[in-house]
Parts: sequence; C-alpha cells; structure tokens
Amino acid sequence: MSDGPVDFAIFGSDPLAQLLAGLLASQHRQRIVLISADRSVFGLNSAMDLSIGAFTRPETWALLRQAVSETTKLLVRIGAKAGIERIDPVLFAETAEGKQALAYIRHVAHGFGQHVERLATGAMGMDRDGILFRDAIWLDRARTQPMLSTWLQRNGVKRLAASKVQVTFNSSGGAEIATEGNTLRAERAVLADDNSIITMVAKTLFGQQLRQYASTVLLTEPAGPLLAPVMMQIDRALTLSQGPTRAVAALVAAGADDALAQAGGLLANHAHLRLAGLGKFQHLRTGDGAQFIGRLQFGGPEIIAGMGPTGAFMAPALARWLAGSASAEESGYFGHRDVRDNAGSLVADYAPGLAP
Amino acid sequence: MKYQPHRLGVETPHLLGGSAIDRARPLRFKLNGRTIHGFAGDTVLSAALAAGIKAIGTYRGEALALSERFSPSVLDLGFAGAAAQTLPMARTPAVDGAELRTQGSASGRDLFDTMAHRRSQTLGLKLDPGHRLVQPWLDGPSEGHTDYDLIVVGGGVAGMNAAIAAGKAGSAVVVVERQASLGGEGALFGTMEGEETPAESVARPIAEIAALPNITILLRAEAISIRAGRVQVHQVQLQGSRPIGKILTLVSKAVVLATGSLERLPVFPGNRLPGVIGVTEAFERARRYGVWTGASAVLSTVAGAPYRLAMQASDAGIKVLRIADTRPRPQSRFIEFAKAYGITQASGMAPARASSAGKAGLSITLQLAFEGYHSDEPAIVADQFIVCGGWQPELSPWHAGGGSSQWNAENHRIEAAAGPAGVVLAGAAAGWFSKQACQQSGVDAVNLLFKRKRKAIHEKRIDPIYETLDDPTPITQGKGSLSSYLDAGQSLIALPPATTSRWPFRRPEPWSLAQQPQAFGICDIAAGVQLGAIEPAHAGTIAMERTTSSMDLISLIPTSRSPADAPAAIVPPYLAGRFGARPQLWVIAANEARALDVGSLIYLNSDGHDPRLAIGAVVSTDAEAVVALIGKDDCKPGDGITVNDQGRSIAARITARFDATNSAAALGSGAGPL
Repeated sequence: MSDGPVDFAIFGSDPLAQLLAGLLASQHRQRIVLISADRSVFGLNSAMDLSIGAFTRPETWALLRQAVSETTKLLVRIGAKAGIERIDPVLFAETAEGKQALAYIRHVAHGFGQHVERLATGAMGMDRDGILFRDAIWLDRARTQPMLSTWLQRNGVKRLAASKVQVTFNSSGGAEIATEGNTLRAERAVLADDNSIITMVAKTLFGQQLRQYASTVLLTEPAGPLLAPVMMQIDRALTLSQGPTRAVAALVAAGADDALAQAGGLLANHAHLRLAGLGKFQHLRTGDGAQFIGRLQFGGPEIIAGMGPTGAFMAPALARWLAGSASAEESGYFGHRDVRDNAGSLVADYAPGLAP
Repeated sequence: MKYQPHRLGVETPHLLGGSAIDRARPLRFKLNGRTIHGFAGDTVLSAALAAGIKAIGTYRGEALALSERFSPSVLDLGFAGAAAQTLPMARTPAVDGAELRTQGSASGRDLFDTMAHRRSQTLGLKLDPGHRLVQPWLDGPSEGHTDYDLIVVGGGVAGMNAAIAAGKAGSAVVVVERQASLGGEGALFGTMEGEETPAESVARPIAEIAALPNITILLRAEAISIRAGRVQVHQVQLQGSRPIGKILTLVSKAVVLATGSLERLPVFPGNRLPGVIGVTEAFERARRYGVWTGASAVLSTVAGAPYRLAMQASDAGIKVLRIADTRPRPQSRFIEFAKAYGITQASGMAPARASSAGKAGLSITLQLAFEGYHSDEPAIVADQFIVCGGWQPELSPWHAGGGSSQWNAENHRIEAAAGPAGVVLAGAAAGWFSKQACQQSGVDAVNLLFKRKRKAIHEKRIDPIYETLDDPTPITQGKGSLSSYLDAGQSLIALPPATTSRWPFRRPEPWSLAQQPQAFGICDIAAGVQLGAIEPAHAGTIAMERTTSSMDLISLIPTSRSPADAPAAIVPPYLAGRFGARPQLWVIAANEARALDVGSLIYLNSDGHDPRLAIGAVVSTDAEAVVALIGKDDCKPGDGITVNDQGRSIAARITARFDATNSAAALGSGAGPL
C-alpha cells in the first residue's frame, strides 16, 4: 500500500525542524511529513534557541535582524507567547582567539542594531572578556512545544516517529519512507537537526564539511543567580543557562569529564552545588564554523547544520529558500553556504577548536 | 526501657531483638545536646530512633520521617570546624561519650523543643528549598588509590558469592558494603522449600570469605562515584573509639554492582509523615537493632513478604491491627500463616492517606480500590503505618557508571539494559527475584568479567497459583492536605497537596515532574511512569540522565585541565572574503588621541554604518601600532579613513604598510586567502 506523495520530508525534532515543516505547509502550500525522534519532554535539552550567537559575518546578522522578528510574530500568532522570554545574555571568552572573536562580534552586531555592551574588566572574573546583549529572545522549548504541535496538526503536517520508519534516500534528493506496511514518497528530503543527520547519514560521508563531536548537558540543583540568564563561553562552546527554578543547565561541547571540568570551573563559586542531571549527546559542527545548507558530496537529502542557537529563528528564511521563494539576499546567503571548499571558505565563521 | 521507648524488649523470645547490638554493653552520647542511650553495635541513627526521635524536621511546613534513606550528617564536636569529619548518621557507629550535632538549618521552634524539653521527637531540621540535606563528607580528599582485580559493590548474597568466586581463583577482591555487617536485606523474604534459611545463606558465605585472605571487606562504606575502572568510596572507620570518615579510591578493570533493590513508596498524601515506614526498613531496623516505633501497626502491601514481618512483629508484642493488600485475592503461604495469628486481613485495599493523630499516632485511611471503584474505609489510629510498594532494582550506580536501562511493564519497574565494558550487575540489581538466582548471578557476573565458562541462572519462583505476583505500587491522588512523595529518598519530589483556589477562574500552575530542579531517584522515575508523567519508552533515558549521583559538582570535577591558549592570528579565518579578494594589512592612526579597538569597522567616510559596506577592520592594537585589514586597492599612506567604534566615528589615516615579513607570519596557518 502506498500513501500519496508529499513535497517535503523534514527530519528533526528541534524547533527549527517543526517550524520549517509548519511554514512550508502553511505559507508555501507544500505537502509535508515531519519525521521526529521520539524524545521526552523530561529529557535534558541538548541545545537551546536564542536569537543571537557567536557570529562574525555581517550577512548572518543582517538575515537575523528580519528573521527574529518574523519568527517571534509567528510564535505569538500560534499561541506560543508563553514560551518567548526576553533576556540579556552574555557572551564571554578567556582565550586570545576567543577575545578577538568577541570584539568582532560586538562591532558587527552593533552595526545591525543589536544593543550590545562590553562588560567592565573583571566582571567575568580574571582574564575574561564579556559582552552583554540587550533584549534577546530565548525560547522555552517545554512551553513552546505544545503550541507547535497543535499548529502542525492544524496545517496538515503528517507526523511520524523516526523509530517506526525505514527511509531510503534517492540521488535526486527525495526519499521513500516505509512505515507499518505503507510507503510514502517525498520529492525532497531535508535533515534539519544534528540527530537526524548523525542517525541517517554515514559518518564517512561527512568529509571535511561536517564534524561529529561529543557534547554533554549538566543540570545542577538551584544555584545563586548567574550574571545573566544565558552565558555563552564562545571559545569553549559552552553555554550556561538559568531558568526560573534557578537550576543551571550547562551545555558543553565535550565529553562528560571535560564538561564537568569546564562547567565546574565556571561554577566553582557556588558552594555545594549538586548535580541534578547529566546527559550525553552527539552533535555536528561544520569544518569552517559557517552554517551548512545543502547536500553533501554524495548528493542525497538536503542538510541543515551548524546553525548555532539561532536555527529556529532562521526558519522563515529557510522555508522560503526551500520553497523557491527566497529574496535575493536570502538566496545569496544560503547559496554561499551550500557545498564549499573549506580550505578557502569565504563564509567561514568563528569556530573554536573542539575535540573530535 | 525508660530512655529507649522504641527499643523492643526481649523478655519473650522473638526474631526482632537486634542482632547487631549487644544489650550487655550500654552506652550514652549527646546529640544536639540531648543525651541518647543506646547499645554497642548501634548506629547514631538507630540509637536516636530507639530514643524516640521519629522526625528529621520539616519540609514546606510538613513533618518528615527520619529514616535510613533520609537522615542528616552529624558533626563530632571533637572535630568542630573540620568538614571532613562530618559523617552520615546512618553509617556512623554510636560510641560512648561522643558529642554530636546534626548538620543543616534548625528551625527555631524545634531547636527550642530540643534544648528545653530534651524529649522532642524531631531533630528539628528545616529542609525548605535551599536548605537541603548537606553531605560535606562527600567532598573530602581521597587517600590515594588501591588496585584490585575485582571491586564488588554490595555485600548481600549476590555480592558475597561474586567475591568468593573471584577470591577462590586467587584474585584480589574488595567488597564495599554500606552496613556494619555483610548479608544484605534478603532476610525479609524468608526461604523456599529446599533452600537454606536466611541466616544460613548469610553465615555460610561470610565464613568462606573469612577464610580467603585475598578478599578485603570495607564495611560502613558507600560507593559515591563510579566511572571508568575507578570507584570512589566513603567509609566510616573507627580510629580508636572515634569514628572518622575516609574517601578511598579503588581501581580495577572489573566491577560487580550488587546494589540490591530499593523499596517503592506507595504514593498517597502523608506518605512520609513520621510513623510511616517501608516494610524493608521496618524489618531491618527491628532485626538489626531491635528498634520499633510504638505498640501498634497497620500494614499495607502489594506483596507477600510483609505478612512475614507482621507475624514476627506479633511475636515481639506489637499489636498488628490490620494487613491491607492491594491484590483482590492474594495467595501466599505467609498469608495462611498470618491468618493463624489472628491478624485482620483485607484485600483490594490501597492506602488512601495518613495524617497525624497527635499523641495517639497516625490516622490511617485505607481505600477499597477495585476496577475503578474507590471507597474510603473508616480511619484507623495506630503508632506505625508500614507500607510496601514493591521493589525497584537499585540502578543509580549502574547509570552513573554509564549503564543503560528500560521500563519493564510486566514487572512495573526499570530494569538494566546494555552496560559499559568491565561493569556487570548481579543479584536484585540485575533484576533477579529469588535468593538462588541472586547467588548464582554473583558467580555468573565474575565468570562474565573474567571470560570464564558461564552457567545458566535458574530463577526459582513459586507458581502464581500459590504465591500471587506483586501488584504495581499503589498511587492515590487527591484528597488530603499533605504532600504525596514519589519516593522515600533525598529528592523530595512530591505531588502537591490538593488545594482549591478562592478565585474560581484561577487555575493553579500545572505540576510538572520535568521542571523539578533536582536529581531524581530511580523510584521517582518509576512513579513518574505510573503517573503517566513519563512515557514508558523514555524511562530508561530519563533514568540515565536524571538519576545522577547528586554529588557536589565541584567534587566531581576530574583533574583540571588548562586549555592551551595559543596566540590569535592577526587575521582570523572568519575575515576571509570580508573585504574583497586582496585586502592588505596597513598601520593606521587616529587623527586625535583616541584608542582604537580590535574589531572596529573601517569605512571610507563617516557616513558608513552598514558593516556589509565596511572596507576593513582593525585587527591588532598594541602600544606601538594599530593594524587594520583594508580591502581598498588604491590605498596609500596619508589616506583618510573613518573607524567606527560601536557607533562612534573616529577620523583616522593610513600611515604605512604593515611589515610584509611580519604580515605573512601574522596570517597564521588557519587564515584564508586575502
């Protein structure tokens, strides 16, 4: 038995994948199936959604300026306002390379209207530089998720659990999805989060473009207030966040031991801070630190990777790009982040060295 | 006994007299200024319980029971000020003449009670959020490390049989046991036809271990961290007559986790009030130390073993008012025996709620719960409410060591799945039920680790026709002004009390297990699955993530590693292509005495503000020169430019080409084409 074909099969569980699926269905009249890993809301979040990131490229900030506003309005419209928090996050660094990148980020972000301030010397502790962004947007996934699910259902997005399908990609970019006796054909397949790429693409095909690395999430019991609700150490790819319960979540691009060392070092002033959770994940980064939107060298599905914390906010522009209705600026941006030669990448962004 | 109101007498023979204590050797010590009477062999906790202390203090205004799994640390005032000598109350032996103080925030009223009346039934700790139980003994330095061929965590029948199997083959073995003696908690379950008695199945391996000098036993020791071939242990030792704490690091490529099982706490309002106790703890407390609260008890169970405790309690002079079984028509040999004792039994009954009845004890309400029908029975007043919610394999150390697990719907519990190399579970922790299987699994774990020939493990269980299978843990929601805790451990996760708002349109914030900002116990997660708050398919993942050791973050930090801080290249890779195809490095200077900042963007004139239109950026500043990367082909010394420093336009000029030799070095290997 075969179900009718769909235009896009979107693979992913993150807000980016869900927003892409919903936008393609609702605004671009595409037939969509969304295939997501079955993950509990109780699970530790392996990533976060923030409207800013450690970007040095002006074109990224230019695109974000419009995309953040568009995404926020969409979330409000679909009833997910409770999941939108306005915060003043801090980016900081302690290595020479990181401090240098921080300086470029500050100047470029300011050029696009971001309210960004350099923190006073010593505010971040010895030998660290920090900058503070005003009025950034942080998505609370637990509060956003129910509204996104309702919105997807309302717009006719078919949903399948990744564990219950068998997928065969074809060289033209489509896929055949077998599930419980049915086969669904998708004209185009898009892998929109790290987990789906790692699960569905052989690591040997990543080449120089994608690099897989271990990451760890640590959750502590309630702690004293941090300097800011979100603090990103850009040269360690480490993010601390603190919600209303005052528990601190540390997302660290490292294995458990290194993550404990790095996060523990930053939180050393919080005496007797006990661990409340520890999750181990695998993530991807691009070889040159830039976003990757395109196909790997073997062809196959389209891949979206390396978006940093802003992936969800780029969803409207990405949906237009996939649907063929992107603006010239968007086409230029995503076009340049398709297959590229990393040795001489002209879209390279700040990429701290991570252990493989 | 005048000073030990909760110590069972031994005037008539019974099995709950206290095998660990020597009644011929009384002792006295001070706890929070109050004199506690006990016996040699007591722990500080058992002596305090025998002295009539039932509560640890309050949490969110509700009294909480003092128990083996929820008791504070004590500081020996002989070591005042030395945090390392703070010891866990449950593992610290009571010694004559000691002067101890519990650690944590004391509430004013309870402290007054303690100081003034000396007969308070509470330790008076105020455990509101932010004042959780402190465990400073976790943070002490480790005293070097010792290598073994095998580390066995847990000294019950499975752990002992594992140690013997390895010890007989000449391996150097260490056994880590929380209690002051080997044996575990299997005695509650009695024996089946043809098996050794519980006493024999403990005495035999103890004798065998004693004859093997290559087996080291660490008693009063708890594994506090398990990772990659290293087990950190906190042990309470006696230095002369004074208890001291030590952290030991054990190293081995082979680890057997025989950590037993935890008893599930039935979920109902008031389930952690002083006087409410799990059947395993009630049994062990009485068997080891002869401690029992009050003269009357009500039991609620989902299994057969608690009937055995009811009979032993009757033998010890306790009035067992009722045994309520959640199973509609339970069958068990223990049930038949209990009937012969004349104990009132009721089936299809679950605990509905408990509340304080003042000096009379507890007011206990049972509920007829059958196929969706619920009806409360008249309340019963008793000194103690002994509850049994079944047993959950203790997998927290397994998870901490990297093991995985999954929900087993048939057994209503989380069971182990794949684990890391070099770590094997045994006994009840591995999911085995019978004593025979636990014994065999200890041997099998060693065979597996040392790549020896394995033998099949035989699970010996009585046909369900004669021994009804255990029910799931009962969960009763609603009705009751007290919290319903999901577990009896340290997490203190509870369903909130049922409240009604004065404002008809005001909805309370929905309770969410996911939002609880503390480590979960594995029983919390099992309860979460039963409550429908955690999907069964995700229980294993959540258990791995959230049943962490709940240790101090700082104490978990491995050897600190300082990252190598390489100097930054003057032109980082992310500037590639930013300012045209062939940008050049120039030395620039502000026209006025202004400091220029790295990252400041350079424009042709002061009208420029869009970073995409910048012709360059400041890439280096030091006392001698400011260097800029500029992508303008016809640049020459003397040309005017504008440096934009976050909105401030600064007039500047190009002064010279940056030295070409230095320039090449400055680009660094990671720099892209310019």
